[in-house]
This record gives sequence, structure tokens and C-alpha cells, in this order.
Amino acid sequence: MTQAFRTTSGGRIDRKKAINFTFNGQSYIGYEGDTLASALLANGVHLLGRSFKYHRPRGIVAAGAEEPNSMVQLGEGATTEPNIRATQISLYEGLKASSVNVWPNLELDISAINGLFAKIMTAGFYNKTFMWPRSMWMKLYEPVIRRAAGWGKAPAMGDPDIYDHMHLHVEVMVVGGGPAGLMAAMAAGRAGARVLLVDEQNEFGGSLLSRKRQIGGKDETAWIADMVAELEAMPDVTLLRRSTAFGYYDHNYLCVLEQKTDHLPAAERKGKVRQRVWHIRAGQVVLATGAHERPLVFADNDSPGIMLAGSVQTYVNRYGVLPGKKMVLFTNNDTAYEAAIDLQAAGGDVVAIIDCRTEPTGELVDAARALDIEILAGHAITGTSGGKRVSSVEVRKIQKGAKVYTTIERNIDCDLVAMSGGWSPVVHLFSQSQGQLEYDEEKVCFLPGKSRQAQQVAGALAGQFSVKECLAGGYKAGADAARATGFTPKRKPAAPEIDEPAVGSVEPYWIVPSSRPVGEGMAKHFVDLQNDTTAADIELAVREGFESVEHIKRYTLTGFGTDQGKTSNINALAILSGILDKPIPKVGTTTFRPPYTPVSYGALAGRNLGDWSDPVRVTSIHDWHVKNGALFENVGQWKRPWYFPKQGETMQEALNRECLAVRNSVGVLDASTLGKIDIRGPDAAEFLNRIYTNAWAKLGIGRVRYGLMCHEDGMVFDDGTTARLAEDRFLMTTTTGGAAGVLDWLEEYLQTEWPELKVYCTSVTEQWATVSITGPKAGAVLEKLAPEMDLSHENFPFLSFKEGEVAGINARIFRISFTGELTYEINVPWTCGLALWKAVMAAGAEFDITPYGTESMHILRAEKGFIIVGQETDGTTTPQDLGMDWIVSKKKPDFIGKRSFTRSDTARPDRKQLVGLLTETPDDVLPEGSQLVFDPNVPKPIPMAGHVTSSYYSAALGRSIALALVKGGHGRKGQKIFAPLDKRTVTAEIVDPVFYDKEGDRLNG
Amino acid sequence: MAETEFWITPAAAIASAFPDGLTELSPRAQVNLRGDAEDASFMTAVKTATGIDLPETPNKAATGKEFKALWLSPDEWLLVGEGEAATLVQNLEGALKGQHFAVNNLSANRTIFELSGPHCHHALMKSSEVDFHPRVFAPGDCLQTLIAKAQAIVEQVEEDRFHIYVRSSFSRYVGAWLAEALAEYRLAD
Repeated sequence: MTQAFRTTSGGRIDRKKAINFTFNGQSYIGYEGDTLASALLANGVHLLGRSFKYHRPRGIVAAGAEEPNSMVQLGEGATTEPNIRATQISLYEGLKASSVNVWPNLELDISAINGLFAKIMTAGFYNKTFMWPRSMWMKLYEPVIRRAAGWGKAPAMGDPDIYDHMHLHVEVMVVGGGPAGLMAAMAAGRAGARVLLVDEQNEFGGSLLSRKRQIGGKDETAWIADMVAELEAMPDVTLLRRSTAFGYYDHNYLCVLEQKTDHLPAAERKGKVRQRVWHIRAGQVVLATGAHERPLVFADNDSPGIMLAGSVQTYVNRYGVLPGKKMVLFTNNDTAYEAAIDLQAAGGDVVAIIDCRTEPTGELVDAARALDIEILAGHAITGTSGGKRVSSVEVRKIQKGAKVYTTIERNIDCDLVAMSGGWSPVVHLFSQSQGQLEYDEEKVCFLPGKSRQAQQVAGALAGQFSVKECLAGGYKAGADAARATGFTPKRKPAAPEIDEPAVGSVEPYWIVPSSRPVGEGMAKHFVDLQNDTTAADIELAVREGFESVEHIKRYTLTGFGTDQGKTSNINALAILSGILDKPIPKVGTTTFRPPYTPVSYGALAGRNLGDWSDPVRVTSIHDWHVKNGALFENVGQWKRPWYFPKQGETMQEALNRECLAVRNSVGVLDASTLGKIDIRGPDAAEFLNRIYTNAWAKLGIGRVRYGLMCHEDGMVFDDGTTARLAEDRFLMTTTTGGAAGVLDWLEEYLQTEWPELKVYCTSVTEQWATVSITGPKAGAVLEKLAPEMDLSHENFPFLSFKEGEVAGINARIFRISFTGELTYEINVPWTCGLALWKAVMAAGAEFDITPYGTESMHILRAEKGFIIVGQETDGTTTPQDLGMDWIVSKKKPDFIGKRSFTRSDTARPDRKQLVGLLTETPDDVLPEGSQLVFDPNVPKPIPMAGHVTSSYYSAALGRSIALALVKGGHGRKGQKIFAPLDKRTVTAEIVDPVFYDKEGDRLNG
Repeated sequence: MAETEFWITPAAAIASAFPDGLTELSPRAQVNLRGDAEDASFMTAVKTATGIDLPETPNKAATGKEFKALWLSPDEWLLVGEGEAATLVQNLEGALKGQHFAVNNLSANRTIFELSGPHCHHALMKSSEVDFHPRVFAPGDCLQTLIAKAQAIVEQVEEDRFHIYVRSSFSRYVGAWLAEALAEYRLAD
């Protein structure tokens, strides 16, 4: 509450804007510009959580995306988020966070006793321990492990926040807004390219936010501000802050997560988009993703207060926070010295620099000496004490090549250990883009090698570790990218004078021995802090035969988790290289995969939720159906009325009423969803002859015919009626779900197989709304609506159509039937569908006209034995299987599927064939999908005879009916068949599939 | 009688709540035409009937007196205008008699949304993967793509003004989607 560790001045925080927040229930104050991590450190809070496996106290290690610890549960209720790292949370008023993986609380964690059993919790522990007995896994092991090792808690409610997606095309995308990225964006922007610059931080500047530099006579803040101002003034340059490029895919397609409101107090977020995923297509990509510092692997290197040196420098310079007041620096390179110098300048005390190099020299080393900081060269930290906060370190002289360092040189009291094992370029996106990595012995890191995509690399990623190199490298990358996308870069500006210390040298030092060999004794050399993986675990894994780096990763968990091993991967493989005695490049790296940092499911889903998870297609009559109590069924993307229950009716009662209305008077169906295709051209009839199984050449103008379509394999894939509008013109109807597929099918054949046919197809599905009136009174209804029209059966016979006005609307009326009753399908322009429907309802009122839905439609057609493609067929059903041999032409020279009907398998007599079933007990309605057997009493497994495809209660027949595909069914009529269900076996008789009006007398009303 | 007397589209029910920058246009004639662009007699006949030189360059619109023609594919155009669709169909049928072509009055098949104003590009960026940036896509350009997950024709009619043709059954889905895409800017403005 006092911010005792805040410096008196400086930093990029706004000290006038205090922010209240709580951590584990305790209230604190930070400043605008803080992260949760920097605000906690300002308040002297280092202990943030407990480790994954051993429940050791853990604190903040880094200042950015590489942070392995400091996971917190952020927020409450529906918007709570688990396992967010404190270094990635911008502080906002009212923020509430708590530790994860602690029980009962952070200070007193019972599971820390795990530490005492550490010897058995080594690599592969879970794989080895919880294998047997299997039944114990669900009951005991998993719940206990989840309690002990689980991290935060997922919210129990739906996510109330808004997420969306945006697509952006640019010539040059720059990832990373440090000195190199800013310069690259500037070069490309000045050349005139459309540029996108993204950076995960709340402000641009990258490393310059942490390090003080004079650039061209300006301090770093002024230089960044000038660069950003110029970029912002360019109309085709897009700058995205708080935006992480998390995935880099083929063809320079990248995904970026922009956090738009996560830094705002809850009240200011309302109604706004919380996070946006940007889908970027870039001509060229400039990767300027910087570098992460590596920890050093020494004994008990995991206590709170042991941090990365560069991150200490960030907390001092960027946030005005002293992470400690008595610091020991442990390093293998020069750059880390700057952290010590800056901490000392900000009021901290650097008690010693432990440098593993025997003779460190250079500008920064001299500067530290000049400040009277003691430098212990050729020494190493070999142990720490303190537990919940580091309180001292044990320092020994390095004995080159030894497995054990024998003499304790010093014990140094401290409250902060800054460590630096050198810098690892952030190659993640480069590697995701399939670029190859090359190991650089001098810089002790992997650098981008061969690119696989149109891209440039710049800055620390490319091994350019000084600002001077970054500016030059960034400019070149941006200019090259602009040139590659067709722009001419402006003349290169003169390089500015930069005041910065020389980078100096780095010496690899992958593992620090202590008084006993690594893995012996109680000391732990942590490699992966998030997964509690130690150097000893890697050694053990190798001893057990896991030598591939990918196996090591999976066996020891190194590199998993929310940080994806950003601080541990390189150390792990360097240690592996030492154990295997193979050079690092030969060991290789694990695969870098998206996402670079975690992305919430909400962001990935965007707006494609609920009603928008898939388009909802509605007819022009839809709202009438809703108003009149219809329940809906999804058919493809369509909402179709399923049935229209009246108050108090059960589903079956409603269906009985609807079906009987059709059989006894008149019913009405919204059939607008059927696909409709206009087919026109001199070869249209020939085309249909080849597409359908039956003959079309002689169909008279004004007449309609039913047709089946098969794929080349002879299997039915769509059906419908087609009318001949003119000599050279047909109107085809398709199933509701099949419309788009059929049009594609027709076009494919026209364009690739039969280009000689002069035929054009045009989808007209939504030009026509279709109202189908059916039943003995259908004619009487239509007569009222179209008094001028001659509806006599002579002039308007079954399977013909007429054009004329119905209810004052220009219409096409088709006499076809899917119910077996007299039916008129009236087609009017889509937008007049509702007007027609209302007119039909009014005209039919005296006959109690009854709207019905898809379920009654299914019953009515099943009573007549009419198939539904996709219900009676499943892609393995031929017309002959369906008993529809009558529709397969024997005379046509060819049509699609013809050849396949003579294949031995298609022609064999015991194929599954369509039959009707009548259950022994008339009220018994078989479940659709029921398996059928010829003899239920033979030993199991009983040979399957077929399955039920459709099954209903038929009110017209007063009993149940079913359709089924049965092996050799056509020859088995009159035989019994059995459906063994859960608790009983239903007996049925195989019958003809036409149950109602076999003679077809009812078609004419 | 006027064909559009009873017209109502599914989007109409939600159109009154559309934010600034989004409207559903009143119905207009839309006639689909297919024919061989390489056949001079076809092109000439269309020109005679409509006064339009059908665009042969992909994704371009050409304007005539009463109608414009949007290029949809190498042998397909959509003629759009305020005139009578039936008359246009008749004229085309007459002019093309004896040739191989297809003409269909599709005025009811699609509804047209107009997206305009300072945020029209943002709404498109949220709805489509296509690059509609002024450097790439300009007035007189059109193309077929997806708006959200629905098939659509997008035509730019002038700077910051787009017409989006959507199949009627999808119109409520697309209308609601576009309205939502603009919502955040209404909040900000």
C-alpha cells in the first residue's frame, strides 16, 4: 500500500493516476502504465504462486511473454480467466487477481509436502505411477492430481464478452514494434506500401522501453514518439498495439490477437469488442520479434526474487520499480551488466556481480567497476536460500570441466538475484512459417536461416543486438519488403548517432554444478519453471532411452504450458546436447507451433456464436409460421416448420390432426426450400437424359416428370420433379438440402465432361416461393384463388403445370404430389410468398385448411412409400434397391450411373432393398435406425439383415408403419423379421412399401 | 398489377433497426443473363436490347441507360436497374431469338443491402476475406464472395458506398450480421 519499492521518479508509468487493485484479497495501489507484475513488485510482493508439481514458492521471473511463473486467476464470475501471467496483465482500476495452484492458501500450502517426495516425482512420474489398476484412474488418481496439480479454474458460465474477427490485406506486415520494427515500417510506409505494424505491448518501442538510449540527439522516448507520429500520419499504415501475432501460416497468412479492452476498468468495457482476431494476408512479412533472455540453470534457481537481468532492468527503467534493494547479478555475458548499473543508479544496491567468464572485459564491465561494484569473475552461484524470497546465495569458484565444485567461496546476502544466460532470438513465428534455424556459436543462439515464405528478418531476431544494428537492419528489411511488393523505397536516411554501450561477449554456460553432482541431494536445478522440470529429469529421461528432443519434451514436459518454454527450450536442448555429447545443432529444436501466446476460445470463435454459428435460412413465410406456433426443424441451413401444435396437443396428436386434414380435406405446406434450377439450351433435353436415369426427350411442353439422379457409382444422390417449360427449357427441382450440390454437379458435367452440350443452368431457388396445397379439397381452394383457370383433369392433368394469376399474383402451378392426394404446388415470386400463403389460408378457411410441417410431410409420403433421399438412401442405395427399377431407362445409350448397375456387387440379389414393415402389435412404432435380424434366437453376434429407415404412427391407417432396407427384401414379402431392442424384440412382417391407396385413386381428388 | 405490390423480404422485419450506414434497398429489377461473350452476335443483340456493352473483364460492372450489368462469370451477368424486369426479359428474348442463351428474371431471388459511410470498409473487413481497399477495389468493381458465411455479390457503386446482393433466404442472417458489424462504431460516434 506504500509502494515501498517504487523509485522516486522515472519510468513510463503515470504517477498522477493511482490504480486500486487486489491480490489474494489484499488491497494495493499501482499506477497507470503498470502491469500487475510491476505493481506487485512495487509493493514488495514477490511470492505469487506455487509450482506445478512440487508446490515450491514461485515469483515473477520476467517482464513479458516469456514469463514462466506468476500465473494468476484474473477477475471473477463469468469473465474470470485462469492462468494469466501477471507480466501480461495491464493494471486497471478494480482489478482482482489471486494465486492459482495453492491450497488452502499461498503462504501455507499443504501440497508443498510433495517437495519431500520429490525423489519419486521425476520425469515420466505420471506415466509410471498411475498406470494400474485402470479403474483407479477416474476414481482416485485423476481427481487427486487435478486438485494438487491443477492450475486456475475455468469460468462456470458462458462468456458474456464480445469478440470478432477482421481481415486485412497489406503489402508489408511488420511484427514487433521495437527499433528494428519501427524502422522497417517506416521504410515500407515511406515507399508507399500498405503497412501493418503489430506489437504485443501497450506502446511501441520494444527494448527501448527498457533501456535508455540517445538516438540522433533525442532520448529514446522522443525518438519513439516521432517515429510513431510519422507512421500514424500515413493513411495506409495501420498500427496495432496490444496485438500479438500468434500464428504464421502458409502464403503469408498470419493471425493477430488484439486485446482491445482488457486494460480498461469493467465499467468502460461495456458493449465494446473485447478481443479481435485479425486475419492478415501480407505480400511481405518483416519479422522483428526481438529476443528473450535465458535463465542460468543453477541449484535452487527458482525462489521468488530470482529474476532475469533484462527484466530487472525493465522493471527499473520502464515501471520505476526496484525488484530488490540488494542485488546479486549472475551472468555469462556483458549485456546483463547494464541491469546492475541501472538498478544502482535508481537507488538499489548491487552487492556483487558473479560472472562465470574468467576475464570479463568491455565497456559495461568497466562501467560496473567504476561504480565500485564487486565482480567475482570465474565464479558461479551454486545454491540459494530463502524459500519464499531469496535471502542469500552460495558462490563457488568454477572448476572447468568438473562435475562438482568443491569449495564454498562466499555466502552473499541479497534480496534479488538477477541472472542472464544470454539471449535467444524469438524465432517462434519464423519457425512456424517453416523457416530453418541455424545455430550461431559466437552469439550462442539459434538464428533464422533459410526462409520458406516472402519474408525478411530484422533486429535482435536476426542477431542484431545493438540499436545501431537494429535501425540499419530494420530499414533494410522494410525497404526490401517494399521493393519486393512493387514499391520504390525512398533514399535511405543518414544513420543517426547512437549513444549505447558495446554489446560485448557471451560465453555458453548451460548448467552450474554445486557441491554434489546434478540430481543428487536435495538441490534442484530447474530448467522449466512452469512444469517443474529439472536438469536431473532430462538426465533421467536420457538414461531411460529418450534421446530425441521431441521425446524429451513429452517425457519431461519441458516447453509445455502457457509459456511454451520460452525460457526453457534452449537451455533444455543445450543440456541434452551436453549429456549426449552432441553439438547443439545436431540435437535440434522442438517444433514451434501456434499460438505464440495463449488465445481464448472466445476470440477464436469471434461472432460465429449462437444464431451466427451457421447461417439460418428462412422462407418469406417464416414469420407466419413462428406466429402460428410452429416448431422448427433444421434442414440443411433452413429452418422448416416441423409441426404446428395447437394448445395442449402432444406432438403425436398434432401430427394425427395434420395428416388427417390432408387425407380428408386440405392441408398446406411451405415448400419454398426445394432447390430450383432453370435449364435452358438446344441440348437441354439431351442433358437431362444423361443426368437422370429415366428418359426426357419426349416429355411434352407443359408436362412434369419425376427423376432420380445417381453418381457414377450408380448410387442415388438426389431426386425431384422437372417440368418442361419450352422445347429448350426445363425447370428442375431438387431436395432442400441438395440444391447447391446438384447445381455444382450439373455445372461440373457441363464444363468438364460434356462441353459440347449447349446448356445453361441458372439457380432460381429463391426467385420462387412455393405453397403446396394438398388434399381432396385442394381443387376447391385453388378454384377460389384462380377463378379464371381451368382446373379440370382433362385440361390440367396430374404431372402438368400452368401459368396464371393466383390471388392476383403471377404464378406457376404444378400438379405433382408427395402425399398421394390431389396437390397444387403454387410458385410465386419469393417476395410474394407471404401474400399468397395468407390468401390460401383465407380461401381454405371454409375447409379448415391445415398448415402442416416436415414431420407430417414425412408421414404422408411414407404412407405412399415415397422415398426421401438421405433417409431411405445413404449413398450405397441404387434405384433398383429402392424398387424403382421402373425409373431406370433400358433404352437410353448412357446416363450417369448406368455402367455401375451391371457390376457384380450392384447387381447381386441379396443387396439391402426397400420394403415396408408392419409390426405385429399395431401401436408399436419401431425406432428409426433399428437393426433388423431374420432370427433373433441364433447365437450372438446375430447376422444383421438390415435397418429401419423411416417409422411413424399413421393416423390414416390407425397403426404404425415403417420403411426398411432389408437384405434381399424384395423377395421376402410376407416373411417375419425382428428388431432386437434394448429390453424387448419387436416382430414385424415384411410388406410392400406402399401402405395407402395402392391404386393411386386419390391423386385426382 | 405491379409485380412488387406484395413484396416483403425476410430482412425487412429487422431493417428498421439497422444502424446508420446500412439499409435494405427497395426492390429493383434483377435479370440473370447467360451467353457466349465471344459470340459477336450475342454481344450485339444484348447491346441492342439494353444499350450495354456487357463487361468481359472479370468483376467489372458496365452501366447502360436503364440497367447496369455485373460480370459474374465468363458467360454470366446480372442486369440490375430501376426499370421493369419483365420488359427487359422480353426485349432480351426478342433480340436473342434463335441464339443459345438463358435469361431469368431473378428480381425476387436476392435482396440488396447498401453499406455506406465512414465505416463501410470496416464492416466489410469483418465480413469478408476479400481485399476491398480503395487501391484494389473501386467504384464499378463487383465480385462474388462470402459475407460472413453467406454467398453474396458485392458491388462498389461509389466511394464509401457498396451494394451487397444476398439470396433472400440468407438476407436476415446477413442483415443482422452487418448491423452488428457496425454497432461498435455507433457506440463510438
